[in-house]
Amino acid sequence: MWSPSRRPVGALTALGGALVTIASVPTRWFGPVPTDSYVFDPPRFSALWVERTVIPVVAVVAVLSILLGLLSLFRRDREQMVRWQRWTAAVALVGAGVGTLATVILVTSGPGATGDLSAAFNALIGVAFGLLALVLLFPGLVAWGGGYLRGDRPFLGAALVCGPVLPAIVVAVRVALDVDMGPVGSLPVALPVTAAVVVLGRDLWTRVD
Amino acid sequence: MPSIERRTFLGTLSAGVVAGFGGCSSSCPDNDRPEPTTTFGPGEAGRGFDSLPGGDWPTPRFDPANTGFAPSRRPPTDAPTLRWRTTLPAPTVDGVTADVSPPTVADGRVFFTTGAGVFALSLRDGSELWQYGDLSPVTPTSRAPAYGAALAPPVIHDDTAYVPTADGVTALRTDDGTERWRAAGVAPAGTPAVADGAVFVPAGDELVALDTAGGGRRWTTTTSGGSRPAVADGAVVVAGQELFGFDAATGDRLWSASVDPRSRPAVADGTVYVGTREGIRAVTLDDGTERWLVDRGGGRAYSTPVVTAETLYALERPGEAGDATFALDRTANGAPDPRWCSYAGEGAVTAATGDHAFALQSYSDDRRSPPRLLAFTARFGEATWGYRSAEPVVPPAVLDGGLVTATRHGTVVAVGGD
Repeated sequence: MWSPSRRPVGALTALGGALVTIASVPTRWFGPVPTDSYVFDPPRFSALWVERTVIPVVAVVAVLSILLGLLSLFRRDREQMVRWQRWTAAVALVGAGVGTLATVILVTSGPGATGDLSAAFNALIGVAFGLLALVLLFPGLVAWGGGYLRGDRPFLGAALVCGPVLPAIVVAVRVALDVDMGPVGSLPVALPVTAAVVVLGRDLWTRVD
Repeated sequence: MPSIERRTFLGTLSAGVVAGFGGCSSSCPDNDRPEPTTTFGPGEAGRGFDSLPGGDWPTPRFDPANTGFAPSRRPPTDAPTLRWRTTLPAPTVDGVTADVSPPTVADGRVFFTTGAGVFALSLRDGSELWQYGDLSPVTPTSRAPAYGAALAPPVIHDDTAYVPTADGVTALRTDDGTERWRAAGVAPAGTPAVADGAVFVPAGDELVALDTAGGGRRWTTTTSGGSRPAVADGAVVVAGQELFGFDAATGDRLWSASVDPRSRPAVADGTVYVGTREGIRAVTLDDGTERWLVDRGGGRAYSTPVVTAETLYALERPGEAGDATFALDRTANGAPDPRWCSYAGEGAVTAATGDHAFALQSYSDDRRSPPRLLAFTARFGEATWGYRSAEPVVPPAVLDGGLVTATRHGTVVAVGGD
């Protein structure tokens, strides 16, 4: 069976991590955004156009890259994993797959989902898949990374553990302290994910076997 | 076959839920009320205009064609201030949403109808110029019954104010309010349109044309109800149970179209625009044939079309959800495409210039004085300013450098720029 070389996959995974941050940049950083009305066909290269046209593509490429990176990591290390780590990795992979599907559904539903009933249902399904992905990804990645932490790969293990844990802490602090993150949007949540994915990509690049 | 019946039942139920839900919701993806960049209220009023605003607003929708579009006007847009405020005697009138009519403006005078009569105010400082109290106002009923009725304002043409009353039409001199003539043989049911030397008066199931010179009857024709007619290019268009086109000179019926109108008609560039239960419909002024229909989903009625050179504004009224104001790109051929929409509650664009649209909002929220009148940019629907008021306001008169409106209990305000 053909399997892609892990070095390009590592590079693609690291790129996916960077794209996560790009997809999380607040739209108003790209220019003024009309807020009082919904604009149906924004001018090309305007902030709204970037939000509607560029960011969805970036988001899909990012999640596909991350999914590919996790699959590649699993294929590379599954022989060395103990039984419970293999199972939790499989759970994390299923979660990543469901999360990718959720992203694709939400992106294709678009911001106009409230106006079209089928799009609204699609968005609802996307949100449900997204929640399911979180439920699978969080324990799966933490346990998978815990296995590396107990072994000889603490850096990769820390990345897999912190990737989901740090964003969760950021969200919890935000809710508990009622912190307004309006100016930076979801960047504080995305940056730990980016860092973790870049570490994963670097590991795939440096450890081919 | 129980399983098939169950499947059929569930399918029918799903379809019903989908259809019902789809018909009730708005097709506008905007979910938040507009928050204007600048708001101001009735608190601080100046001493009037130093420089008198230019232009007239002779009918509630600017022109006899009901477009609501005043080209080449430069209304206050960036730094509006209240120039004057005054309160008219406005006794409660049964069955209306506002005890004061929308304003009309001509030659530096502002005209209103209330339950106490017709008033002329100075546009410069709001002082009363004259009052004509010997009449009972007409309360035209909206084609969308849930939105109630409004008092019919005086319609201004050639130094004369044509006032529909419960027992006829009265023509008053605009300079001193004295009576020119009174036509008692007609029972107006709405605001008349004045054009081509005639006053076109909707009167129940009739449309009556009176001579502007002396009030003599030119012709009478049968309609199926209808409020304010639209007059353009020698034709009169009336939206009753059906849409009718009449010859303005003779009253002969030119055409009829079974479109179930839900708004008054507006005419621009040989096309009649009317809101219907199915969507916004355009028919030719020549023969009433359909040009296009903007249908954004069943169960969403449309009303109050305002037509500018580049934009068609209309209000979407879903069955159970809040209203949404739409701005659509007018194109040379075919149906217009939506440009922007805004969730405005029970509001509508009622007047527009080339660059701006002015929309009412009559919703109530937890704020004591929410923005009731909003200025939107035509291009992206940004709310540049809002006039805050505890009460809803009536459709404004838009002038060059100024704007006049009133709250529903009779407080008249004039807005100017910096």
